[in-house]
Amino acid sequence: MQCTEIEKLIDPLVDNEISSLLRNDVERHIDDCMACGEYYANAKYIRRSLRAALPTVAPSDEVDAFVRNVFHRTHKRIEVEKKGPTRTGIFPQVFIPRPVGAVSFVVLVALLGMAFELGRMWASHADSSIPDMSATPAPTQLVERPVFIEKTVEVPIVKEKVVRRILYSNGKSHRNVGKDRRIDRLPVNDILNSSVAENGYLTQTSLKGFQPVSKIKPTIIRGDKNHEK
Amino acid sequence: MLEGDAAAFNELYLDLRDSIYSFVYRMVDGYSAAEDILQETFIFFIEYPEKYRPERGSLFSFLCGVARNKTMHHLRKCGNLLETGTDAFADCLVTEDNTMQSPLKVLLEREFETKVEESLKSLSPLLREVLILRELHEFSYQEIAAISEENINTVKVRLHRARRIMAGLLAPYVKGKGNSCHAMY
Repeated sequence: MQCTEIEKLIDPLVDNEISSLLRNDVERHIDDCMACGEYYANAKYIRRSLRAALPTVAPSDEVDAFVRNVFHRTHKRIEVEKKGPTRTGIFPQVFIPRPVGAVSFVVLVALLGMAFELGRMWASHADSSIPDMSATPAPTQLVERPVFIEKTVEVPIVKEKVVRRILYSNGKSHRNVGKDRRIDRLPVNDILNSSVAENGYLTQTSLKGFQPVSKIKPTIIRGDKNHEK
Repeated sequence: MLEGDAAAFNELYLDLRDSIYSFVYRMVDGYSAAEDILQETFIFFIEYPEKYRPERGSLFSFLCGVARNKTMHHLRKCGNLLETGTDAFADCLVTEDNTMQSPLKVLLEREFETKVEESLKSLSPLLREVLILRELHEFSYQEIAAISEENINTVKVRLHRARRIMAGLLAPYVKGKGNSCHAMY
């Protein structure tokens, strides 16, 4: 075998993990080969050095105490878990299985309900059999109560629009009025039924209820009846 | 012990305590961290005793596996990369020239122990654990593979590399014929 192959087998030889067949071959090679023999010797030397120079060390006592304490605590916890949950209550010695307890509770509730119903029935029966003579009938009084009918009505919102108009008392103040002869025939004090110019046209408008914003000086046109007065 | 026998646990704890603590102590740097990991290992066993299956191996190897996992977690948490250091010391392998040029004439025992300890700690954790489990605790390859959760070939390769690196680091303390460092003994 070559040195490269032997070199892989030297470590198993040092560690005693080699088969007996290979052991003889490797040992024979080591005796003949100086380099392989040197590696073999070094490996054994390192083992002896490590064991000589690195003795076993011990931890401090605190570690021992801590580990033992943890062991005891864990041991106690395991014992408690093995025993199961402890019974607590008013009567810890009395053991009642859960199904029996549930059925007993239901029966108890039903009995209580029945007793309540019986009590009510007995009370109503006693009320009907014994008339109450002390009670006097109250006088009947008719009280009229106002009835309010509510109705919701929708009211449209109307925007107020201000229109400016020019009021003419007679045809002299406006050229168009002058052309309209009918205005001249109007009564002098009949200002409320005067004409109003809107969009260039004269329309007959009732101004009753409006207050004049400026003084109007109507020109009095003489008529036949005025002379008489 | 599973039934809560305190005496049995005490005996078991005293038997395995020092070996597991030594393994953890060589893996991590510092007493406090090693003690914490030892505590956690035994507390894990106390709380989950059913995790141990005798058909898979001895209780010692099981506890070593638990301690090993907690140690690796601690090293990762501390930012100690597991692969770091594997190649950094590759140059220290035994060479023809630098091993025997300046051999020490007098080796003090204390210096030698310190050097061995430093050399071991300079290995990457993955190589270190394999070397410790094999050389100090004498686990078989199969057991080491089970503890480190690797296959057996990986264990062999790591052990081989660890030994070569250690031989290179301890070479200056060797005197004797040729380059062989076993000449000291």
